[in-house]
Amino acid sequence: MRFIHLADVNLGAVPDRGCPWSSRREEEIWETFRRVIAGIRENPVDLLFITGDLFHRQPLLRELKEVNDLFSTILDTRIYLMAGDHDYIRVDSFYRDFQWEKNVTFFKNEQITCVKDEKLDVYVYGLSYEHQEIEDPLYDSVHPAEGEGLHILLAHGGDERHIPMNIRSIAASGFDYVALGHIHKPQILIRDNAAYAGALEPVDRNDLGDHGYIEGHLEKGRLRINFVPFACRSYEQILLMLREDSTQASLEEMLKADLANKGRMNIYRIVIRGTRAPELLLLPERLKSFGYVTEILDESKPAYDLEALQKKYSGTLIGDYISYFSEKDRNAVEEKALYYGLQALLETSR
Amino acid sequence: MIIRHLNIKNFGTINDRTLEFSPGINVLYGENENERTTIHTYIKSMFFKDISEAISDNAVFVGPLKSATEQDLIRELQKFMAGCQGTGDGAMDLGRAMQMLKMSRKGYQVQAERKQKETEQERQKLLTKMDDIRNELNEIQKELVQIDEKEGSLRMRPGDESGEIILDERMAEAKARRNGFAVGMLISAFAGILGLILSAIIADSIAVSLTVAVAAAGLVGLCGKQQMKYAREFQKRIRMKKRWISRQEKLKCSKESLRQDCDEKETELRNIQEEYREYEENSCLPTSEERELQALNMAMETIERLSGNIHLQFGRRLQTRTSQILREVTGGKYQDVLMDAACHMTVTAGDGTVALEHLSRGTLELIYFAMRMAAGELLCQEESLPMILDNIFGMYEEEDLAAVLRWMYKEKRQIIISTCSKREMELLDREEIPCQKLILS
Repeated sequence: MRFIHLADVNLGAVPDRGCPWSSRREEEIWETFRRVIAGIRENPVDLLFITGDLFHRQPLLRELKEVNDLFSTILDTRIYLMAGDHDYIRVDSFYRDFQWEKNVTFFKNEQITCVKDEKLDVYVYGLSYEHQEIEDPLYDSVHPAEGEGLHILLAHGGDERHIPMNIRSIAASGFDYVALGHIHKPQILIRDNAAYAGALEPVDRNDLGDHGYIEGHLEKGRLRINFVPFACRSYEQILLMLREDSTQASLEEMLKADLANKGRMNIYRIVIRGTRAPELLLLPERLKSFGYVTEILDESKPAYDLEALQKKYSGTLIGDYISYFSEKDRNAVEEKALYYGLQALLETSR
Repeated sequence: MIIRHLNIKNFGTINDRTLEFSPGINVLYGENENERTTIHTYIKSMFFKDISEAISDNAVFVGPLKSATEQDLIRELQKFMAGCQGTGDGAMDLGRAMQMLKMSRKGYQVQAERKQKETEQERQKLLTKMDDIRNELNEIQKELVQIDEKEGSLRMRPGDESGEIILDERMAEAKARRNGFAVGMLISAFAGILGLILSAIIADSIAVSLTVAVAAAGLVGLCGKQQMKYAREFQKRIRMKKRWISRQEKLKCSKESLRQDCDEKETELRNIQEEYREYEENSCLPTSEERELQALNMAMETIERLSGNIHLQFGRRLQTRTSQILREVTGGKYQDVLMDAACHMTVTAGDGTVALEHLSRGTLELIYFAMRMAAGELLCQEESLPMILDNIFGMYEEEDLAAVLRWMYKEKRQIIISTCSKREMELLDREEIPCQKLILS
């Protein structure tokens, strides 16, 4: 027996609105989902679990039809589908009357339902969101029914406003696998027993790192799961450390090397840290032309020895300026203000 | 810092000259001004090249008052005082610092505006998309209204089945007529045959039989024609009803699909509205440019506020110390040096304040001396620096000079009196003030 566990596909999402690659990303989210189905067609699995947020918002009828068409190409695979908080079954949702292919089981309401897969001796438990937010811990009271076979719970949420749950105790109540959705970062919480599949494709710039799905199989009667990276791109963070002898050119070289290393396909957030020569004029915006860059955070500091400067200039404006900022617990803006002002004062006092 | 020993190998016009200095008062005497100036330059470039020019000019090298007229002299005094107050340590160009910060701010403002414009464009795109969908929805709704009207004209609204009934009635009527005439035809044929037989039996007249046969045939023909006509009409009515039904179905069908479209568009619209809301919320978050701007503004505000303090503090300290020195060198004749907001200076003497305009040149020189000494002390608080007084006592009365020399001796700091006159040395000797004499020849 082999299964694939998908979650948070977020079809219809438009990542990074305003960036030039935005519409391509929108299409790629669909494309990767099609690739998963095509992969199943090539190498069929017995079960496909989709644990919520297949759609980013309310699904349109034509989108449901398209997904159903895709499902109809893998009739040997039994598909278990639930609605999450993003695509919750609203009163007028197209989910309500949609006629799914016969290999699809859709959990129609907010009550936990158990569906037995006769052929495989697998019990699948699940529900669908009918509201955008559910604060009741609906999953905490679920226990697997009596019966030989595998008991698998599909669950979506885990934070305060989306069905809070105690995953360890749920898993401990006897489920062979708890297939989770909602959190976009893929994570195996309990080895071979409970996992967030994570978003299939990263949906926004905060979904850093690899994305894909969870694959599971029975091996000598034991369930094994592993994460399969499958997304066509990832969001990554590049840390550029400045030194006192760094220049704009050396910074750009560093970035180019990093981009070549981590892949030009990926989308980056650049963080600049370290200390720079005080007279170096950085142009962070220019870094955006080297690849897919969403934002640049410049946290670097000019290489000033604050203590020494404070001593040297005590009794003057510069000294007072440094002491004013040294006396408080600086936040990021104050930190920047300190260095901006200090640099201006020092440079014009020479 | 104390200068103890100068060994000049080769500098300007000076070759191999050694000068020993005492930590107290030194007199550098030389009639040749060039040589003295070379030594000043040498000291400046050797010891004070790391110190800002403003400090070395204000605190170390003290030149004479240059102005010839009293008016200019007073202006020079006030300018020096105001300059010291304005910049705090006389070494900082606040205007330039602020300008620098403003320029950085401008850069970020441009960036922030560009980003804002992009955000606005995206927002507009979403709005346009919303409008498009709304228009499509309107179109669909119009079509639905049209269909509704058509349904009305076809009398097929729910509860109004008259359309179908009328059609059925007409069909039944045609059918009944057709059947009636068919029966008529049969009856007349039958009557004709019967009439023929009867006439043959009873009348035995060919004429009668013929008449009967002709009449019967005529009747049959008539009925047959009518029957054909109504049969055709019946067929027509059947076709009509079929057409009516298919039209009705077509309407129902398109109505159904329009309704679906309508639902679809409504969902789409709501999704986009949701997206628009989220986009607006996100674009409210501070951007990195806005953080930079905030920091720059904070830097400027802080500098402004602190420099305001320093003005006050430094100005007050300068005035206090100047007054103190002036009191000491004039033996209490003059008490306080004051400067108002308009940079106008006055001096208090015994019973009242005196404007500088009413003071003698000698007193003005003393005020200048006191001010320069005070500024020199305040500007280099961390480390006392030697002071080089370049020919500043030329215009002094003897008594004033003696008082000043006594005061300098009491202060116990390194002072180099650079002069082209022997007066200072003679007075020092007369007052029995120890000093190091360096005579250039």
